[in-house]
Amino acid sequence: MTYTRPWSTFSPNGKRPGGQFDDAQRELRVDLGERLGPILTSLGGNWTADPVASALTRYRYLHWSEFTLFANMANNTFGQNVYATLSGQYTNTLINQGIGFIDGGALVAVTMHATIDLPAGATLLDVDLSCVVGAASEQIVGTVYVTDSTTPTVTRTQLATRTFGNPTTQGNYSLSSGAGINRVLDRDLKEQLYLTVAVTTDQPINALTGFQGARISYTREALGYA
Amino acid sequence: MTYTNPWTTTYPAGTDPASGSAADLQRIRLDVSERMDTLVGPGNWSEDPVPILDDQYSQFLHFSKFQVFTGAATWSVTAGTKYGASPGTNNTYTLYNSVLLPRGCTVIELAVHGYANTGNGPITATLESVVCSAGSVAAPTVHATAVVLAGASQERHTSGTVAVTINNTAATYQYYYVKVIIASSGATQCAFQGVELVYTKPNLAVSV
Repeated sequence: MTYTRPWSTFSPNGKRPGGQFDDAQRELRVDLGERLGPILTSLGGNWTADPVASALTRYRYLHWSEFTLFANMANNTFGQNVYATLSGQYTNTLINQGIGFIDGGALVAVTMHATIDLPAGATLLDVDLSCVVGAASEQIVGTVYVTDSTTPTVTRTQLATRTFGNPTTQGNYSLSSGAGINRVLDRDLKEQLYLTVAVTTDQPINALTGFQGARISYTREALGYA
Repeated sequence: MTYTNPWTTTYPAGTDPASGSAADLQRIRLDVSERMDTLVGPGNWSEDPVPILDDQYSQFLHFSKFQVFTGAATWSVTAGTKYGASPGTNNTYTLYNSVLLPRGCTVIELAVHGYANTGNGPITATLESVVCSAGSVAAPTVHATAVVLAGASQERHTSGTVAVTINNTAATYQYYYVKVIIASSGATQCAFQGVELVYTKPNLAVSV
């Protein structure tokens, strides 16, 4: 879009007749609207709306590789190399392009963690898990927590959780079951927001359960953290 | 920069002469442009169109962020001054790392940092994505590839120019990631410091 006029801080000039000052004021409104409009549109707002900007839902996608395997690992001693800690649990074949797990013939539960890293002041709307559960006795549990560890007593609050049993067809599922989480993050960031995905598997060879990742839905202030 | 005038909603006063109207309007324009330049960059408010943020940025994915998916090895950080991850045994390794660039950013280059001695390598980094739909997941799409060839010295190995806009469609569950495949005959035969994503941000609506 080409603006109607170049921006000028010398308009109107002093020679403009007094009878045209209503024109000059309208020109100023047009000049402002043309420039602010696209900015507000990009923010999900509208310069002519009241209010000019509302919260735009944003998304952050955590691929499975963003998660850290942290519980019930085959070899969970610190100092072991990464592969050694994971090799006993991962399948070497992706399940629907997601991570899958195997066991040694018995039920195995593994838990993966990922931080939900959002700007201070943002509102976490929901978390969707992309996953599939395809065998008896297997399940995936996705849970969103927030912890406050600024005091001797650490507080952990569960914001949403959902269990996916067998069978769960490949899909994208809200951990709040569609109710929404709607958690406003503290501005001082003393709270830590994170997601756990606990997988229970009972398939020693052909894993049928896996997850591709998680979609974080959130809003944040329009310009404050741009 | 200090603004020429403090912002006020009581100027001009009702008693000011009409002969000052042109100067009053000029002052409003000046006050607005000074403040908007703070938000969009010095001098940018006077451009047509207003360039919000059109610079390019880099996001570096250090090797420690990658998950080792296949290939058995004891990893080490290379001796000397390379400071990269090096697998200790003869094998091929596959690593993954999530790409967390905001929706709407455009990746314009993929680069892998590393080296591979003669007879080792390649180290291949690909920017890929998968779309998860109800009932199925499509095969990955490879958006960009950067390679450290066998015998390549330590440097930044680039894909060349690409244009991969991170999908901003709300209903599309599209997961972006970098996949790295390393072929090595053993310790210190190659090293991988990480992957660099060069990208542009289209406007103020997009931020990391």
